[in-house]
Amino acid sequence: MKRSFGILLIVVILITPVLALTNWSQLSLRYFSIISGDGIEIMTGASQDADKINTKGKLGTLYQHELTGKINNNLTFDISVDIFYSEKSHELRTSFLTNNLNLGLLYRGSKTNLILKFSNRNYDPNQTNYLNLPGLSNDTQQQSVFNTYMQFDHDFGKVDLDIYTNLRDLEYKYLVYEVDNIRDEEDDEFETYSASDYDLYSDLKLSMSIFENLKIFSRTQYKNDLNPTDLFDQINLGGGFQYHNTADLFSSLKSEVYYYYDFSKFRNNELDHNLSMKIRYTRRFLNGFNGFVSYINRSCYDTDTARIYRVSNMLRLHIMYSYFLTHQKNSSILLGVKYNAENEGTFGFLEQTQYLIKNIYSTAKVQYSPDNFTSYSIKLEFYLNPLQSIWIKDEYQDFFNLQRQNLLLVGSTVIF
Amino acid sequence: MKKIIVLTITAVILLLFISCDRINNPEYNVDKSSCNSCGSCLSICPRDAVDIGQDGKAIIDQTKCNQCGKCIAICPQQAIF
Repeated sequence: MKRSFGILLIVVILITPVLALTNWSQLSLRYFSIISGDGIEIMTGASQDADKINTKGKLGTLYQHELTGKINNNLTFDISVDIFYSEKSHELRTSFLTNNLNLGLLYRGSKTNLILKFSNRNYDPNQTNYLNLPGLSNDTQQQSVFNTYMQFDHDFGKVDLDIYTNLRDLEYKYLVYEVDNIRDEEDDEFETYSASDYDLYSDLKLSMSIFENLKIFSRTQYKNDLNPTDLFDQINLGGGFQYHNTADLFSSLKSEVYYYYDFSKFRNNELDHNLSMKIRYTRRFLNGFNGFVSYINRSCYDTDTARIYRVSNMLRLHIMYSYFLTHQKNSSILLGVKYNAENEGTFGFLEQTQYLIKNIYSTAKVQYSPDNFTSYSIKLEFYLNPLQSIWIKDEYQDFFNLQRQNLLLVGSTVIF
Repeated sequence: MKKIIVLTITAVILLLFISCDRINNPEYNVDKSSCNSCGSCLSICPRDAVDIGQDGKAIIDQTKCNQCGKCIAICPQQAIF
C-alpha cells in the first residue's frame, strides 16, 4: 500500500509541469523520501522555492532526486539529479533550463575525510542567451559545465590540514562573422564554433590549536584561469583565528577573524587588504525558547588613501518559542530578522505553527523585505500519521514595482 | 576569561569597522548558512561568475564578477552579501 502510494506520488510529481495552471495559481509537490534498512536513501521531489519571481501562468521549479548509499562503514556514495526549469519571461535570465548531475564518493575515517565528486550541468541551447564572458573575445553560449572536486582533510593532532580543488570546464559555442571576399556579400554569415574554458580552483588551509577552543590558521586560495593570459588568475594569502566553544548542550559560540591579501591583477588596490569577521551565538533554553544571532562583517584597507572601507555587513537573528511540547501537538512561533543594508538584503519573517484539532496543524507566515517583496502565506496540514501528511497552502506575494501573485499549493509529505 | 577576551577583541574590531565608509566597487559573497542551493543566481548571472561548490552551495568567482547585483535581487534567501 505504502509502495503504491509512493509510486503514485512519483507519477504526480513528474507530471506537475503538465498540469493546467491558472493565471493565478501554481501547483507544487514537495519532497518525500524512502529510507531502507540497508543504508540506501532515496529522496525526490519538486520545489517551487527555486524560482519565486513568477509571471502569470508561467511555471518555474526545481526537481531534485537524490540517492545515497553506504558501501561500508567508511565509504558512502551520493548520486543526485537536479533539473531547474523555468518558463519565466524574465528578461535578465541567461538560461531557462539546466540539468545537474552529481556523482560523489565520500570516505570518512577517524582522522581523515576524503570527498571525490563529479558534477555536470547542461544548458538547453535553445533557451540559453549569448553572453559576453570575461576573458573570451566572442559572445558565447554556455553548453555544459563539468566540475571535478576533491576535498581532503586530515587531523594530525594539534594541526589540521584541509585541501580543496575544483577543475571546472565550461563548454561553450561562439559565433564568428565570416566575410566571403570571393563571392558577394549575401554569402557573409555567422559561423558557429565550439570551445572549452578551463579554470582551476584550489584552497589550502592549515590550522593549529593553541588553546582548547582556539585555533589559528593560515589559508591560501589560488585560481588559475588556465589561459595564456594571467589576467584572471587570483591568489589570496592570509590567516586568522577561529574560536568555537560549546560550553554545554544548550549554548555555542563561534567566531572567526580572517585577514587575507589579494595578489590579483584585475582588482583595484582598495581590495588588496581584506578582513572578514564572523560571530555566531546559539542558545537553547529549557522554557521553550531557542535561537541564534550571527554577524558577518567584511572590510578592506585601501593603501592609496590609507583608509578602511566597509564591504558589507550581515546581521541575522532567529528566535523560536515552542509551546505544547508534546510530540503530537507541538506548536511554535518563529521570528527571523536579517539586516544587510548594503545590498538591500534586509529581511524579516514571522511564522506560527499551531496545532488545531485532530492532527490538523496550521502555519501562518509573513515575510517582509523593505527593498524587495512582501509575502503572506497560510498552510493547513493534516497528519494521517507522524510520517504522512497532506497539506494545502495559499501564498500571496507582492514584488514591489514588479508584480503581485497568488500561489495555491497542494502537497504531501510521506516518509516510509 | 578566554571567552571575555575573545568577545571584547571581536566587539572592538566590529565597532571600528562598522562605522567606515562603504567601498564603491564591493565584492559579493554567499552566506552558505543561508543558501538553499536553488541555483537562481547561477541562471541569472551574465558573466558565468556563479558556480556550485561540492557542498551544493553557490560560489562567486570574483575574477569574473562585475558587481551587477542581479544575483542579489533574485536570491530568495537574501544569502548574497
